[in-house]
Amino acid sequence: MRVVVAEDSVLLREGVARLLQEAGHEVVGQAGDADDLMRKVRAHKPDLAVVDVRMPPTQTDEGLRAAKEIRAELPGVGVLVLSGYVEPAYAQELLAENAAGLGYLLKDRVSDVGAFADAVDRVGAGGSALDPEVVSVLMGRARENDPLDELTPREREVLGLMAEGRTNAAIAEHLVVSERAVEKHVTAIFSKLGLAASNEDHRRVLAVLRFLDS
Amino acid sequence: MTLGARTPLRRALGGLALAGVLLGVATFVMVASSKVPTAPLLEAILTLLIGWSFIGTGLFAWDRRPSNLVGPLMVAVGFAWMLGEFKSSDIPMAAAIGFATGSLSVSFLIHLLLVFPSGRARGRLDRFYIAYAYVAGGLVAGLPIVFYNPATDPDCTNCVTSNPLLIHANLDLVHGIYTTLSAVSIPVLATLIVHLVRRTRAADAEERRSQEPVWWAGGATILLFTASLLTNLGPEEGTYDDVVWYVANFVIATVPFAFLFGLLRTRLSEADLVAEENVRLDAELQARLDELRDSRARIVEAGYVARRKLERDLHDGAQQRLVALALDLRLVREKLDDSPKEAGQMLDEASAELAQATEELRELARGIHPAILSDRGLEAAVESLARRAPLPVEIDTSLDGRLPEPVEAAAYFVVSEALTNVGRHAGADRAEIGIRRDNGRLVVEVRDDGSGGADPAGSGLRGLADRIAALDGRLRIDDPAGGGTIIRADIPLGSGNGLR
Repeated sequence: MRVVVAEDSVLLREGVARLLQEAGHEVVGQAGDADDLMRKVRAHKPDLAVVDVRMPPTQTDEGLRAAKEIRAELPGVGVLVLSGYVEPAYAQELLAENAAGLGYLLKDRVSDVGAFADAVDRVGAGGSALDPEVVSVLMGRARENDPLDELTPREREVLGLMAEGRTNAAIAEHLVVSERAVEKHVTAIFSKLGLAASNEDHRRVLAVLRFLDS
Repeated sequence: MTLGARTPLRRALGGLALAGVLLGVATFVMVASSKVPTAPLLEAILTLLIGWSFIGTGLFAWDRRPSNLVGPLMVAVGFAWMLGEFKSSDIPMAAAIGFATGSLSVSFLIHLLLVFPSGRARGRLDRFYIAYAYVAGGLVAGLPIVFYNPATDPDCTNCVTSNPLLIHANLDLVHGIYTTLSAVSIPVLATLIVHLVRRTRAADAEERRSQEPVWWAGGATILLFTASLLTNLGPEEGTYDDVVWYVANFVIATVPFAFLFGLLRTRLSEADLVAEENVRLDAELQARLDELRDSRARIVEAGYVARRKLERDLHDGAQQRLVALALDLRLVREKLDDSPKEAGQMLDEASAELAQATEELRELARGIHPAILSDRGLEAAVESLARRAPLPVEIDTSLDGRLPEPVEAAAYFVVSEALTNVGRHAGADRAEIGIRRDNGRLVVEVRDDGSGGADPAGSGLRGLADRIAALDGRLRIDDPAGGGTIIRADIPLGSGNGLR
């Protein structure tokens, strides 16, 4: 997979690049700010851009805006946004219409090499990746007459993994159960929560996300 | 309750009230337990009645009409009265003080009668009477104590046996001074009564209305005092003296109420109103300045406290973990060749430790200033708080666009602190947050359905109140009748809060 990395801290940028190379990817460009990122993405048309949220000049949310720009201009390029902190609001904003080829992860996740490589593969292949912390904030939100109370503990676990953007196969592997068993759980969850079932994982993420933050 | 300062005037009046209560109790105990008066308990009760009614009504009048001398004079009469009653004590020093100050209350009373209800003397004649009252009642009547030796006084059958203020014993001189004083004062007081009656006659209906309640009481008092002064000229110590004395006491006790009634009936003149208003504004301004100074000091202090806490958190948290990690990595380096399996396990532990450290740093940064607030504004930041709140939160916001940064930050911390409190103490099932603009102000309201009882003096809320006061806003905490707590901040969005 061909990847562009945008991150203003050289140390972290080199680290991420090395990690990606070790996972067998080709880092075709490195950028230190949003303009640089856009130039390199346009020039290289990579499979994936790994983008830091805070970059010069304003150090606020350049990365987020660049991510949206890339998605609008070059739909074939997956964007994995990394952030020093995660906010469900940003996830909603980023994944608002279409979660395909989009990811939003806490920067710390890069140290969990396996999970990070997994998210890179998923987003690069047109899937989604949502940080477990975003999911846990959303699922842990206090509600009156919480519909999540209807779910069994196992179903809650499956719901969380779905929200992270994982495929049924990945969920089955993670929970060490058969894919068939996961499918049954997913059907039960959708029916209990009154959601329309969807086979495409990135649509599924969106449905779950909207449900959780409604 | 509003988190604001009491005015300095109120504080001072509170202090005077306390002093009055203490002096009253002391006088009562002293007189009631004394062997000097023929009816100690009756005299003690009368003293307390008169002293406290003057002080109480005087303080009330003082509070209502802070620029009018009537209130302070009434308070002075009350204090002087109780002090004068010390003369009935059988403790020599107290009795001496009582003898020296015994007539001072009448001086104040005469001053009061003359300047009522405006608080100002009208003309030279008034000023003459006032001066006479203080010279005669304070100085001439008090002076003889230094010549008086009770042991040599044949009239003094069961009084104290010594006088600590005695300089030179001369009983004849004492009697001489008192006789002269009475002889001069009786005609002066008589002309004073005539003067006052004339003035009342000349007054217009409005003035008379406010003075009516005073004259019968005040006039009667002077009359009775004149009568009691006559006893100094007449035969020594008889039932006549006692009867006059007690009747005078009862009448005097009603005087302060008459004064208060009259004063409150007085319609204030234009000039008085302005003066009243000025005094009130001065007091308010002073209170605000005091409050501002206190709050500024607390904000500075809170800044230090926050920095110390930050330093501690960094030092005890992330820094310790990183130091431990550095050590672990050294150990791993040594284990690497001999027992690679153990080394691998240690590296896993180190990674977990590192993840913990980053997590702590992230939370710390979030507490200092949430990035979403500067990135996306107040509404998004409050929604983020609500998502993480330990109870269901309903949000009703109607802001469009961003607000000045300091206002956003203050409002954010109000919601944050309120939700923390709700989660911690209130035992609530749900909370509601309302944020809106109202007439150039931002109004932030957090209400819950818990048991109430938020402590406005708690450091969290106190700090918030200071923060909001610094923006010229107000923080209120209410426990409404239906239960729960409402924390409400309103902050002006004026130009002063925009540019920083």
